[in-house]
Amino acid sequence: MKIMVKILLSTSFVLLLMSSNIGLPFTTKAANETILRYGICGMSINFNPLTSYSYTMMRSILYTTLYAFNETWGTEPWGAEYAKQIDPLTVEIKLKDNWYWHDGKPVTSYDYKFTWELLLNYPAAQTRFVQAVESIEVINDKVFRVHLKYPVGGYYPFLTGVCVAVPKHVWEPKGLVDASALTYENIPPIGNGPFKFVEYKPGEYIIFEAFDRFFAGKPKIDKLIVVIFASMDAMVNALKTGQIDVVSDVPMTVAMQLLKDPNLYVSLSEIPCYRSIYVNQYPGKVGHPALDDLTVRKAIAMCINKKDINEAIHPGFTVGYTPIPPYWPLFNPEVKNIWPEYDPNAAGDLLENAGYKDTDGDGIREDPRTGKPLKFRYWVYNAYPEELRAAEFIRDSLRQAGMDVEIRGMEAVLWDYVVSQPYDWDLAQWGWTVHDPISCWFPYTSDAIPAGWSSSGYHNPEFDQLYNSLLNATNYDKFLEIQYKLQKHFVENLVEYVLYHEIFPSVWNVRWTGFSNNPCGVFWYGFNSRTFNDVHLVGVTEEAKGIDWNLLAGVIAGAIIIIAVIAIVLIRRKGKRAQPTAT
Amino acid sequence: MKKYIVLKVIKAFIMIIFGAIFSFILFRILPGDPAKALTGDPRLPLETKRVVYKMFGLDRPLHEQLFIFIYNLLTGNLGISFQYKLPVSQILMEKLMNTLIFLIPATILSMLLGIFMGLIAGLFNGKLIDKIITSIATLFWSTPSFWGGMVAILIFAIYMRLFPPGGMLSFYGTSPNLSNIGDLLWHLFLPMLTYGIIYSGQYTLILRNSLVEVLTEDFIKMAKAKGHTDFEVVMKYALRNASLGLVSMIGINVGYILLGSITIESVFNWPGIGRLLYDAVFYNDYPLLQGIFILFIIVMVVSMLVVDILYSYLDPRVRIK
Repeated sequence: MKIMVKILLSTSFVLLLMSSNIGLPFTTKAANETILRYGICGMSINFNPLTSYSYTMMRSILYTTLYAFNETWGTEPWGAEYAKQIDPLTVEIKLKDNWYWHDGKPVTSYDYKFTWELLLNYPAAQTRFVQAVESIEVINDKVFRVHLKYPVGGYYPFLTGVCVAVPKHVWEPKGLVDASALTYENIPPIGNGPFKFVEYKPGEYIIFEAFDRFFAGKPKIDKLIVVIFASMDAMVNALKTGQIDVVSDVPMTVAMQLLKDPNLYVSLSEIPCYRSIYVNQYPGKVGHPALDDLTVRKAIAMCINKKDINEAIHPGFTVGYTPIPPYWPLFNPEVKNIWPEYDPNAAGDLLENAGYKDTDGDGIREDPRTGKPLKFRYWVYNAYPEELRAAEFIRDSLRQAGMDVEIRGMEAVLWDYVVSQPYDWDLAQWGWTVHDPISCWFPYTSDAIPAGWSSSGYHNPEFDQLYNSLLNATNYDKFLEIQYKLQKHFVENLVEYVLYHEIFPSVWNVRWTGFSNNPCGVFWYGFNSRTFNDVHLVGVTEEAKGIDWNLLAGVIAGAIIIIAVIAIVLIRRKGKRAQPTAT
Repeated sequence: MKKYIVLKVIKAFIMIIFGAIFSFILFRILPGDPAKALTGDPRLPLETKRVVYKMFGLDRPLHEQLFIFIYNLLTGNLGISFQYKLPVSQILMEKLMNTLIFLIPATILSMLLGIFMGLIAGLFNGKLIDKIITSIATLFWSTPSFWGGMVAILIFAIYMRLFPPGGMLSFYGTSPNLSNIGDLLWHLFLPMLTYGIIYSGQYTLILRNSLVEVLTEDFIKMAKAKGHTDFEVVMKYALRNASLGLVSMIGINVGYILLGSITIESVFNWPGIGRLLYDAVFYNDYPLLQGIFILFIIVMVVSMLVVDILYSYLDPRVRIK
């Protein structure tokens, strides 16, 4: 009995302690500090800017870029004072005089030379942005010249790309001058962006504080806490209940639901991310041989109803044709007319006339050269579960035309193992990002195959030649002309089936305002350098109200105690009833 | 008894070593590229990959890697996490503490609830209260933990706003200590309740069935004949015998709970071992996965060892055999 009493007392004490917290708001102000809590999910945290894909951290928190995109997709100096073309193969860049590292040292030309040479000598994630760089010549601490391998039409990915500098004075003494720099954990990182690193708890959070010497002025919030979630549901719940203030990259279906919440603001923006179906054209491949035939590729294209798939699965996404989004100034509008119209019956006729007939009567046509049925292995990346539905839509249309697919969802690990390198598939659906209008074409060149960058093994000398002309374009008009040609080639040859360009939702609590916007929206990790600089609270708002939670907690505790007491009494009574009586 | 324990400990040690070797082989034959995970770059050029492999000894023959792995394991070195770039043992210790903060009270709660309900149901065998408790326990036992967690969040966090939907503490940058224990308990309540309730179903049913069986034994009749009350009979005689099955189930469950916490920790965003495993799988973090795997093996083997020893204490026939 004594044990029971002890348990009850302990339980009551715990409940009492707990009830002292019930009903307290999740505060955004602590010790006179304004704190913004930004939730992220499924994002790998890596503080090494040479290899990191945590672009938000690289571009708008810990580090920053030389140039920034503005609201009309134009670019303007940001960390750089200017960048001017000296000749078609030389660009001079001057860094801002008041740009400092978080340890107080100035950001110099030597930092850029050191970093970009590392990227060129030991290719890593960010090397793509400096691909055109031949060498870097330091003029003085703040001015350097970039000598190019080819002119790239005056479009310089290294200005806006996230090939940010690392502090030479920190990295060099540690011997991080070779491939070891790629695996360097860089904790604590010394950055040059608007926020300084404070603390990182793996799998939990990262704390940053405003850097008071940032060249564009100290951010208005004192601290920025990046809260890491393992599940999207947990993150959205935290946002709804005020545990965090802002999230990004939530699925469209979730964003649509959050639109109904008056406490939340949903920002939808078009981003240059596209999802497409790759067609295996790898030389000496293990893919279906019929896919080499443009007629078959065209018939498949005629079975893809992009408009209906979009409306059913991705409301708001933009129908795509090439990696270049239709809303970019570089987009060639002609490709819209070249893309085959959706008509599965006509696709069947096209195949019939080309000799692809159903010889065994099973409803699937056979390849006249090999006798192989037009049934394709269609792998879909599981990270986008909704794409499986899109694949089912396409399968139904393909069957109408006398073709078929075996759809299989693929986990990230298996995707790399099966799709990326061995090319052991026929069709594969996943997404990619266009960081700039030059490097986005490289994966379709023959050179990309041995380099490990080719997604579908496409190889065509005409395309390779066009790509080289793009690199060597001496002015913007020429650059645009070749861009148009590349897009036309892409659609005419049905290199791959670009389905749609994504919409990127960001959601924040209406207590906050001042998020910097650009065509990619506020948070999208690749393109906004000024996301958090002006963020501030709208005003003091009530964060929790309504029921007297302490009272409710008391009621719950009371209920538990009453149940326990009743149970003990029941046992005791049963015990007494069973006591033997003297006879 | 001493000999029995020593033999059991030796067996347990051998099992751990074999389990560790198995985990080493398992993660080497799994698909995926560790260089990619190391650098975070999905399309790393081959030349850079080779350099990275060399730096981490991944270019050595498998048997050499195995010897190095066993040596490191015996010296407590589980390697460096690809994702966190920190020693695996350091990460495991920190996350294990968080898991234990949630797991110990959750297990105690499930045991208390299970014993309490099992006792009532066993004592009132065949009565209405027995039927009600048995039905509730079956329902609890068959509830998936992630679903239970989501329902708890929906009711208590989203609608009633009584408890936080997840996390461990309200203020980031602080660790659990005496000053924020109330906050910690507040965050702990929902995951603990979910786990406690779900696992209590199993314990209730096991204890109830054992108790019903034991209460028909001759020694119970003898105890009653001696003049003990039902309560005394149950507490002094029946419960000890009926708890044999329960003890082994709790022992087995300790290991499973650690594994099962993957879903619950993800749902409640609790920064423990379960979530760590989830992330490690997601990011191909082999050293971390290996470390977690070995930790699970150790926990399972040690808990079974403890169960064996406890069992031999509760039922001396076991050690005599």
